[in-house]
Amino acid sequence: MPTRRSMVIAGYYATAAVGSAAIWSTLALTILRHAPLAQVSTAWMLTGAYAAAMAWAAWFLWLYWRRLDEAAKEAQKFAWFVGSIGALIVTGPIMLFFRLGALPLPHGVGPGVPFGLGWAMLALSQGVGFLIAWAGWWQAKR
Amino acid sequence: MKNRLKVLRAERDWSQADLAQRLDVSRQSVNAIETGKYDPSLPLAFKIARLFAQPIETIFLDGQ
Repeated sequence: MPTRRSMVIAGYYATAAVGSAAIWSTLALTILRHAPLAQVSTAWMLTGAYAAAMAWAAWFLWLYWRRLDEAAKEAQKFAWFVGSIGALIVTGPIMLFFRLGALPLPHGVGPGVPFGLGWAMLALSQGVGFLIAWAGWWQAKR
Repeated sequence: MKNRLKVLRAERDWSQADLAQRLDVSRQSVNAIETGKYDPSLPLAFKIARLFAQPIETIFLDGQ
């Protein structure tokens, strides 16, 4: 049975995630519907939309962080430290395979697409590394 | 670090969830402290001592 405390904490996290995704997708789709794609001005507008979404997420993640107890904070710090470094170590060889042409890159696209895919892969792998390290930390404390 | 948290909790017939609520931490944190897998910070240790009305040294055993 979740306590009121845990529900409040989970609520802050969910509000950060869902709200920022909603803000980003709404603004980005609106911008892309009306603005030309390969324009610096469009990139700036999308950056503004991204900043708005991140500001929302940052506020609610700050409230989430303040409500976490010290053990949960230690778990987060450990998980981000170990998980993200682990992700960099693991994905380094993948980058080499792409760089040396051993893995195919998308054809007929501008250089921005592989760059964006690389960023997304790094973010995703750090997130996965975080989850594994976070679960491992709590498992070790049982 | 070994501690007598579980004993003190049992003397008052509190569950881990009860103790967690009184300390404003999660039940998982209480479990981690009781099993000695996580050492609380000084503020939390003082909070525990005040809750049980005992000196910190009688609750947390240095072992050295």
